[in-house]
Amino acid sequence: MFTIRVNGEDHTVDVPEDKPLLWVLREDLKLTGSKYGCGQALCGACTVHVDDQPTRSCVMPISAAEGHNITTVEAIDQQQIGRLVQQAWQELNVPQCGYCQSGQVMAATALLTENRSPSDRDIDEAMSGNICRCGTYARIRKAIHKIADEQL
Amino acid sequence: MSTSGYTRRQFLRVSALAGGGLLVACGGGGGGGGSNPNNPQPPGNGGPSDAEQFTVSEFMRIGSDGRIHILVGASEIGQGALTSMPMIVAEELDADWDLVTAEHSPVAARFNNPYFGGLLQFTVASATTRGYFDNQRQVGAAVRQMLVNAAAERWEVPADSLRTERGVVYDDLNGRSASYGELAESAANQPVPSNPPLKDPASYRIIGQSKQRKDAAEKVNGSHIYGIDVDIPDMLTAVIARPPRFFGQALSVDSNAAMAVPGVREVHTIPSGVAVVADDYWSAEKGRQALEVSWNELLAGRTDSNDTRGEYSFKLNLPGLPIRVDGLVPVAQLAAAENRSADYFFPFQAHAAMEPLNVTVDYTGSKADIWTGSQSPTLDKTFASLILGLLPNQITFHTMSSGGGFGRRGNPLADYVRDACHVAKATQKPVKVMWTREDDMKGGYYRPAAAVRVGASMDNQGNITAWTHRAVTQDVTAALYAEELLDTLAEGQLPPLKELTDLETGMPYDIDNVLMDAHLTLKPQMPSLWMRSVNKFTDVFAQETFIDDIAVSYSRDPYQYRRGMLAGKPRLLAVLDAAAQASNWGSTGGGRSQGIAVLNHWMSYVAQVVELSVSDDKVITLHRIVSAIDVGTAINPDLVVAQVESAVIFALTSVFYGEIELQDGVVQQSNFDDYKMLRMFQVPQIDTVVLPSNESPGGVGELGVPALGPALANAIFAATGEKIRELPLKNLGYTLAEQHPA
Amino acid sequence: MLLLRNYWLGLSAALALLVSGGALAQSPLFTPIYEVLTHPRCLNCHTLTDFPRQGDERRRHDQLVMRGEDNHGAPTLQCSACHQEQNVAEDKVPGAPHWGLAPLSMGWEGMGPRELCTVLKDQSKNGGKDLQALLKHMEEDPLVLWGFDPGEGRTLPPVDHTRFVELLEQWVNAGGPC
Repeated sequence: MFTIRVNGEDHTVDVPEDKPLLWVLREDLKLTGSKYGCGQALCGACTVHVDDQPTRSCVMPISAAEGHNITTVEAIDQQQIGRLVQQAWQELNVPQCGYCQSGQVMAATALLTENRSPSDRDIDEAMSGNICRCGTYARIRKAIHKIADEQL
Repeated sequence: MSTSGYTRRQFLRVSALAGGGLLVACGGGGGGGGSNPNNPQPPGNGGPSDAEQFTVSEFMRIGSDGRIHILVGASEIGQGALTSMPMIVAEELDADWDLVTAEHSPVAARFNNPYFGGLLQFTVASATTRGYFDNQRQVGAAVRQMLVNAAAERWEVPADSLRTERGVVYDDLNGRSASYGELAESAANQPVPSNPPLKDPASYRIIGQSKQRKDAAEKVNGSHIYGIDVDIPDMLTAVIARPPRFFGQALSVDSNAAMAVPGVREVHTIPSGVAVVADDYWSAEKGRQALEVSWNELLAGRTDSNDTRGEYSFKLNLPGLPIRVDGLVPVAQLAAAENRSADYFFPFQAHAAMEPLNVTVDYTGSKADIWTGSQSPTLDKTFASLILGLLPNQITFHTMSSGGGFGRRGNPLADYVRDACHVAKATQKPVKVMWTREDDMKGGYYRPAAAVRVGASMDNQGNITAWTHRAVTQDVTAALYAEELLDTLAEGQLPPLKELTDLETGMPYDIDNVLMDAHLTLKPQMPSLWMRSVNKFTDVFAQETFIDDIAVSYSRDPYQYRRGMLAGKPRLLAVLDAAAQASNWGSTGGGRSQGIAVLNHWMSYVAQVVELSVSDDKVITLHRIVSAIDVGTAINPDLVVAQVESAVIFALTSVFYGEIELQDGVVQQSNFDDYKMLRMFQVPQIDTVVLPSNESPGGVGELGVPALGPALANAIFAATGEKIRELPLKNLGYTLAEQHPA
Repeated sequence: MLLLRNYWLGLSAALALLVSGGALAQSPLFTPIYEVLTHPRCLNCHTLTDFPRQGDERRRHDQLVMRGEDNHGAPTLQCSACHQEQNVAEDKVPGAPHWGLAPLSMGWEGMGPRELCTVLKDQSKNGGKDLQALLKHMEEDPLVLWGFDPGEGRTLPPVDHTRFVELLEQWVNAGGPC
């Protein structure tokens, strides 16, 4: 049995200790916003915040998630910057298939929270762990700059 | 509520709602709406509301609150079908766009794409907008007319004295108006006009506007439900152990260790492998790791990338099946001052959509529900009915939004749906069949390897007098003609082979003598499939790089050289000029080089310029990529631009990294570490110019892919003199620089 | 193709070693230690760059992973975003406690044995460790231990950890000759 704190609420789950956080979120807590893309921390589709740090939930064993504050895309609108990211993403028609965007939104929210006026280099260093097969990178960059320039 | 008259087809049924209202819903013909009863659509996307809803014609529901919900026959794979298709309908309907929502239609003949002879719902070949455009306009115009007629009846005035605007019918003479919501119920009883008048494009107010995607909000807050997110009561999860080589068969299975994994429920041998069925994904995956299977590989595929290259190179020397024959090539070759040719080779590539394949099946023995992201729901459903032994009307196929498709989810052989149906049939319980990334990467149905030989004959001025183009590749469309498949298509005929194989490269230049031929190799043990832009990716690469080869050796500017051969092609000339102008063609300095390429296909036109520099150790810095396009009427220009941006990135990934290698039938790549994708830090400035046009809409989704590679290779050629004759560039020692170095 | 390239990489690395003094007479006690410390399992994170490397080919770490101010990655793309306290995903994703880069002062890339030996012992660079502390670090640090048990699909340093510690003890007992 493991108790994890997700989006401000404690949840106790009876799962093997090596079950990745991603699958606990998706299957046990029915929070399907975090996506499975590679299972090896290569694509970033599963990105959640663990104590505010973007973390690949697909490789984090549930045993390692205990005792940490986990935030998923479902609750990122509770943060002002999370909301701004979601709004800018919509305004600029960032998502295409949209499958990677939960992870992109989580990574961008963390970046802008930590750095309110990121340079292109900062964006590259923060966002290059998230693959978008539809190639929405240019719009992601534009949206991050737009938020930084106009709203932060 | 009447169901009589020629307009009311048998699939309309009337059912009483608990609340006392009436819901007229689409039924029959393959099931209800595309929404998943266990994953209710969030508000704003056709979710339940207190308003009554009326099915007005078979394609939309209009609520008494004025909300209009449109059913879309094309699949949303990221290209924006669930936004652009309703825009077309809403335009002719004169709807209030803010009140319009959309979802995938049921799988039913009335939603088939006219482009495919009205036989299939099939979201491939950049055929959604150009296929459905007329038909969606007519739907919108017909329903508008029905609403007007209903108002005319109510007010007892002639229909032609009324006008519509933003979801309201106005009677200006008598100073009254009624909203579509108020008129919906009576409009539903109006006969559907067969030839409603269509708008003059000059009066469009939705088409041509850059509207925000209808699905954007859900796609940024995690609530959008993809196939992989489907969750139904008592659902099990399965993964399939597959043979190391394609089409191997399980010979013996030791499932003891797998069954001992907590959570594992069942192990079933199916035609494509051995399915481990468990309570959840993690248990299934651990069970699969514990499974011991010995495979019979007598009939398994033994494709080897190196052998394929050798075989294809040999076949380049043999005449193939003629695709295009203009003039007399042999005569022109004899008369030429120079004949030259070049051979190209391209590897297998995986689509690698971000959402790995998955299918959920709820099969009870007498009926089934299937949920999956699909570009080919009609054929998927057809195969499902064959395997499950059900009639099509016993299957409800829920087309889910795809987390990427690129052709992989449009397999006419429905491989992943067949697999899931076999598992469901074996387990007789609701089951989601999951593919891991490795399953997806190693799962075949790749863009086929190809070899191309292009040849040209020149007079002593460097003018091309003859052009030859020979392709050797697998015919990815032959499957459509498989006998068993034909038998399942009860009526009608498939489009002509020529239209489907699409091997014509679209070589646009004014050359009198042209011979194009192809060897369509059949490799039934090497599953291949179309991938975004299909053979254009390879054929256009060869054609457009060879043009530069010739132009440069005759000291001709590649842009002007192309111009000179496109005199009769105004739309191609226009995009070529626009790309050259937007990229300041020819006036770059500082060690930068440019390359250009053009293409006309899918009824659309594109010219692309890549500007780059190359270091001595072959590190490529991309400075700028400019695309100029003419897609006819651009329904939603911003989404058109988004598709071109997407195609540029997709092509860059293919050109630099894209390679699936097979060694004695075994795929060597497995995940994004050895099958790399372009990442944020490698993305250059991308500019896209959309030329205004009122012509019929052309295809957009694939348009930006094929010319990018040759434009890039031409820029490398200009920078280094190296002629790129094979891909990917990583194999030639090229790497991509960081765009913003630390 | 790839094999061939690896072969050339290996050959040129060997040549570089020769030129940089690897074959010159050094303290025989340090030579085997040097061979361990310059194995990719150690060197990939003891870099002189602002980024780590990965794989036996020592390619720049994918995802534009950076050293960062504290040697644990960019501010919001930390090593711990992916690396757990142990290997996961069937060893595909390596992990150990406090996964990160060694400080720049402990970057060893391109160094011959004598230079590396000197840097290793330099307390202004090695975090104030005397020879005994160095030995303890090499004996106990989980990241060091990971290097000798890196999981399936990764090559191992030329000797196992037990032997490595023996070699170090001999070297330390001899006063750490370079």
